[in-house]
Amino acid sequence: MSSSGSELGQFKVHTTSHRGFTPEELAEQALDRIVYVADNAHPLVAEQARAFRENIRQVLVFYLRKAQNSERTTIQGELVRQDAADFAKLIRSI
Amino acid sequence: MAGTTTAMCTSFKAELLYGYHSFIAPTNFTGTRAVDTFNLALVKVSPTGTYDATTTSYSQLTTNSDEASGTNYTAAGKTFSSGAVVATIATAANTATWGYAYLDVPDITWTAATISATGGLIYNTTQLVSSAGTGRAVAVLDFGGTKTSTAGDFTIQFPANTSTTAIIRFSGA
Repeated sequence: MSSSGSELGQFKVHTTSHRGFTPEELAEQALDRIVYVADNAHPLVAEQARAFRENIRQVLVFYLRKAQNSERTTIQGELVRQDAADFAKLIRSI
Repeated sequence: MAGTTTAMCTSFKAELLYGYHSFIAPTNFTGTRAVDTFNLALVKVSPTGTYDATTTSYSQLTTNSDEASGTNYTAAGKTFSSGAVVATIATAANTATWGYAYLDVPDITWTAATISATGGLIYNTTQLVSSAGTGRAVAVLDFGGTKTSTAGDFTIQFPANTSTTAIIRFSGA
């Protein structure tokens, strides 16, 4: 339980180089928002929450990967439409 | 000492009493009060100024030339998506969090960016400090060291929106 007054929450900084975030990295960021387990939570409640978190992780990674692939399909389609088949092939190879 | 220290700005707390900051459109409000716009600007590596609870405005960052720069980073930082800002005031019906008021803001990402930064400043771009003419400071974030992205993503991830973890919290407990 926080003491009275004002407080600033804990934040995290994530960076990448020469790439975007992977589905696994994004899933971890999302999970911090979706499922929070308090340090003082009852052990049984904490255990259930952690199990739920791991189940959700699998679902998130699956659908984030699908979103990634779907976005690339859209981009490839547009590139082909614009007579840039070589670039479409490059996107497909990523 | 120059540098950043994570803190809610003292001026922000006082300005709340004056009604300077509006994160959420109020209901049953006499007169009009639109939602303000809030930005997150990044502090460069080895800043010359001091950014902590005593910081009052964005102008301190620019006067000292301490704002970060780089590919796909625009001066003044990024704007929080107002639709994703959530303010919660705990009511008596929820006794576990009675006496709390807290604010959630969405994560912020600079994409395909090349940036190095050691901290950030959240500030109100709508409500200006008259003498300086720039936005009123809300909070300073210390990254605990230099964070760098190279042609990649630079993300500030904010915590879960609960009475004990939300990024900005007030309690009367």
